[in-house]
Amino acid sequence: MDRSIRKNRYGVTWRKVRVNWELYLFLLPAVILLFLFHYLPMYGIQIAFRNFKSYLGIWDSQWVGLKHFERFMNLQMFPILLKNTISISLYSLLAGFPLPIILALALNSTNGTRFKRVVQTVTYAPHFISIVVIVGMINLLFSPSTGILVTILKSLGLQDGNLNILLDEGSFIHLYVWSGVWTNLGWNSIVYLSALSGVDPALHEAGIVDGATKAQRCFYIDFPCIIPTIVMLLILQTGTIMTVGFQKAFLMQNSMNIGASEVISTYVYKQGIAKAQYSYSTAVDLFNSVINFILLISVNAIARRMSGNSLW
Amino acid sequence: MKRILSISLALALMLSCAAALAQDSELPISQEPITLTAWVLDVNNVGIYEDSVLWDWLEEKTNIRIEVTSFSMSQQEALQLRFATLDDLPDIGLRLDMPEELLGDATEGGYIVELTDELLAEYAPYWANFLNEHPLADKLIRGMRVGLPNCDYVEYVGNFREQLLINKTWLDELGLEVPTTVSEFTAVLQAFKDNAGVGSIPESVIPFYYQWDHRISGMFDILGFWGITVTQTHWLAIDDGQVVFQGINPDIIEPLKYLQELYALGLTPAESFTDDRSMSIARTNSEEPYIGFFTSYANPNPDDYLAIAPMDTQTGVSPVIRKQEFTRTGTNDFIIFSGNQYVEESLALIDWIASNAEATANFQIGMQGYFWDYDENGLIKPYDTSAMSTEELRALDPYCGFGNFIAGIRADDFYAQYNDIGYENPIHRAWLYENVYKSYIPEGETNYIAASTGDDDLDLRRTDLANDIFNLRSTTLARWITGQGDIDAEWDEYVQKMYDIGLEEYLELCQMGYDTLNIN
Repeated sequence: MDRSIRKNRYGVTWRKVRVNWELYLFLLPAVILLFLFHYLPMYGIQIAFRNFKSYLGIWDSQWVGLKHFERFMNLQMFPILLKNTISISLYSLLAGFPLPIILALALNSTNGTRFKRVVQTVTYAPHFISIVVIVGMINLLFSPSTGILVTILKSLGLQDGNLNILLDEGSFIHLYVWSGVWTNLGWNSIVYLSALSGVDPALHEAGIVDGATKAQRCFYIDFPCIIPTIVMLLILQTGTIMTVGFQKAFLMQNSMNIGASEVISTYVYKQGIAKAQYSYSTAVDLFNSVINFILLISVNAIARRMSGNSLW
Repeated sequence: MKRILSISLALALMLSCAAALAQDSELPISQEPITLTAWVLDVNNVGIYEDSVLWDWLEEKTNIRIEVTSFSMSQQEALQLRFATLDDLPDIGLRLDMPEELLGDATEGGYIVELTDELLAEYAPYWANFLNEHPLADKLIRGMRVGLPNCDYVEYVGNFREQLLINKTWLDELGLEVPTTVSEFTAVLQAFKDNAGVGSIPESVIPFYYQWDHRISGMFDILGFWGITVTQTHWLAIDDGQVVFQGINPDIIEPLKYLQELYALGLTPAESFTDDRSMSIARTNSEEPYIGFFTSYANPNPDDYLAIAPMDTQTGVSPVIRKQEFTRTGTNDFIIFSGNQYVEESLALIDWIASNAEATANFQIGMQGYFWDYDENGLIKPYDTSAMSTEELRALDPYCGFGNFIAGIRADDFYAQYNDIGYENPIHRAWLYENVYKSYIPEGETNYIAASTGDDDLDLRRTDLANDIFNLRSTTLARWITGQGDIDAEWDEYVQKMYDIGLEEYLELCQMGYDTLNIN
């Protein structure tokens, strides 16, 4: 690059900083926090390649290279862990991603303010319930012989004997995903509602003049306007494909569904953290993170190429 | 005869006094008052360790004050991480339930004082002698003695794990006898179910409740009806010194089929496979009983539940009852951290507690005058607290003993000075052991105790194999019991799968570890 152009670019950048120094000062605490708690500790990631002993510290612990990764990948359960983690994540994405968009579009199109507020409150509320309580509710609802659902079904003559949802390995993924959708539907729609509030009303007026119905305006005006938001959130979501929340999977596990409920995070907790094998659990998490990062970059590139919208 | 008895009692009294005097001549342990800080993990969330009166009593006797910081179970992970930093550690650790990995690292790094034979011989001779005579209690981590265990060698604690409890009230209401055979047992459970809503049997009755694959209130004792010993979720046992895996023992087929039958008849609930520990405890400790039969260490409701013997399968096989270990598999009930300025005094303290019957009684049972006192023969006689209400017991919290939350020894020396009233009380484990369960104890050493192979990589390999084997066994057996598979048709494939995932290697590694216990 030409030196003068480079010098100009730097000059322009510093001038902008000088002019908007209040904004950068506002940003500074967040940057410092990010640096201190996210970037600075990154040097610790090397324990994934060492046999970390707390009394030796990170730098003096023995270097073992890819030993922990090999151990993880040679596990009998490795394919199952990978399959469960990816299938739960993909299913959550397919089920949980479009619904908040649809909810946001529907709410945005609603005229009744009171109705809108009630729906918003009702859909947001589950987000604040703790995961432990959610799983407790699932157990109460679907308990095989004493659950609420089986009691209702038996009283209606629709069920004879136990309702084996919690005992069925195949049901685990559905319970996990749809309870997650119920929990986060309202909360996840907030971003889209916020994006929709930025749609120019003149576009809607023009649409009305042209005789467009509410549904048509929703589809041809609202939806395209929030595509950039959708794409960015989709990219971010793809970057967490390998991360299935430990808490809920762990709480929902039982002997009957372990073939479907054992994911990477639960395995890492039981075999790694609970047994103080920090190097091993770091290696597994690093494996996860690397795959997430590759996916993030790939999907970002694809999105930029296809839609012109991307995170960077 | 009377004269001989009186003389014997007098001699016993004199000997105990002499022993007590001899022990008390060691006091105070420290000439200057010293304070030691300690951590403890309050596993049962009872909140008795920090403000216990026992510490005041101990200070009075020994000139050593222990300041305890107690961590609840919700803080366990945080405690573990804090421990891992090896920073700001206390002087001593009582029961912490730390992973062996952390304990081993801390000891290797010099943060925990390794209790060598020489150190113990010089400052804790009672412990040194005891561990020498009881190698199974002397469990090392990477060849190092990290801490001291809690051992209770009374037979009714170690020699059987769970009472088999049947609802006697319901049996009486239905005019049924206590079952003694498996077929009678099934008939009784069926009667409980058929009479749901009659008398005190609730509509929501669960004839037989167990928590699947759990050593507490689980179904391992049903396997015992067929003479099979399974004590823990690893399903490992010792047979003539060899580690065996009961999960592929063909003898388990019959009890599994029996459990399958009970499930199909609706006599055991599907919730046995979905309940967690807290739910299991809630069910078995319900104020209004709604369970017909379950197993438990203690009888939560002696008014309604009666402890019964294992059932006879009438196949010629003698039923057995589960034993549990005499010592906890962890050895961290008394750890000395290297920042402790008073290592010798700390060792002398725990040695005195172990060797002194009064101190042992105070720390294991509870404070003298509140939980026990000397009887007319100078023996330690515990109070009968079984009739006390929950409120009355809670009021005694400051005087409560710590049990296995602090290292201790209750063996022959202690029990020679102990008047166990439990043997007179039909609801006490002591009486039950003597009168109901003793004849069902399996011969010899049957309990597998996990121990390190001495090689970190092999230990990790064993951990990985254990996880795979556990998952396959637990899931497959649960599927069979709930009728989602055919035991006979799938058995051979299941066994082969076990070998394919490394069962043979796993057993070799377990044997390697177990053998180290016997060659300490």
